[in-house]
Amino acid sequence: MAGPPSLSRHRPLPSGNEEATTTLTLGDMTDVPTLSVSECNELLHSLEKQAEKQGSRATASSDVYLKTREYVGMFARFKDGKTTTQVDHITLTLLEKGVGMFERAQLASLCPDTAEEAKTLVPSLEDKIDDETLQAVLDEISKLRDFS
Amino acid sequence: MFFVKVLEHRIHLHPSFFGAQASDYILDQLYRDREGSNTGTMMIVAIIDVDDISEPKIVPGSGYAEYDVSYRAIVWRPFRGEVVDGLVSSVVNNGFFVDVGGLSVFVSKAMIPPQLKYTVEGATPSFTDGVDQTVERGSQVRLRIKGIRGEMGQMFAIGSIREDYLGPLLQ
Repeated sequence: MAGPPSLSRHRPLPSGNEEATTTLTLGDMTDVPTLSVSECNELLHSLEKQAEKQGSRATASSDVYLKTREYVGMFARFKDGKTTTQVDHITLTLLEKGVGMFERAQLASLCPDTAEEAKTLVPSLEDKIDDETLQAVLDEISKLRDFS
Repeated sequence: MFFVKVLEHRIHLHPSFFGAQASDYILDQLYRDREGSNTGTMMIVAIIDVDDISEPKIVPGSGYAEYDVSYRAIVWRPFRGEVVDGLVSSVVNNGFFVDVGGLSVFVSKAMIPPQLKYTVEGATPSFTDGVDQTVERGSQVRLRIKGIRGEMGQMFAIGSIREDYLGPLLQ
């Protein structure tokens, strides 16, 4: 005979085994929208502008915020809003081909030159996409890069 | 990797704040509590917007009102095996430290290719192979995160540059 129904909450899955190697185990971040470094840069900029316009809330001054702000400013491969959107459009086509959101953002942040480099840096891409398709997308992204 | 995640936070409000301004106090409290906080697995960089503030509930026995707030935030969470770029913050004789946003990653000597040797020229210590690769304070490197240890309020990570396509970035 079945016991009384359980009223307690489910125990959360043990964390600590999340990884982004050949297998992608993102825990509670599975299927959460990701941002590449350039997109994060854009978003922080627009949040700051919005706060300025409303004049209500002073922009955050926490250590984490300031360090991240500096980091994305330095490592954003596309500094300009227009190109960031273009890159976003190009990489969105990857999602239809079976690439996950995590890999999409990784590719847009790291900007590898060749398909082989991309698959070494992001090993979970290995059997999700073939080299030719990936190479075509990478070529398009690198055309938009600004090396100045 | 940066994520846009919907999170929840429970806030208790003292009875002296009850009134028309209550929701402003709640928002202030939310931004003060959560922005820039580190849960041990992820860092909340900035709050984008607040979705919903629940109806308050009075906590029996204390008089405080309890609000559940759900909000969207930019979250930074590192994963084991992820490749990231970072800025070298200091070099010591058995490795170097890299700042990746708010996370400090240590790359030990065993995780550095053997051709990069520790050298001290003048006052600036560096790892260099004497030709074109140099890691010193202020250089940008690409590394793979090998392990993360999180505690409430802080995170530590170790990284590796001993693989193909990793190491100092050409500038």
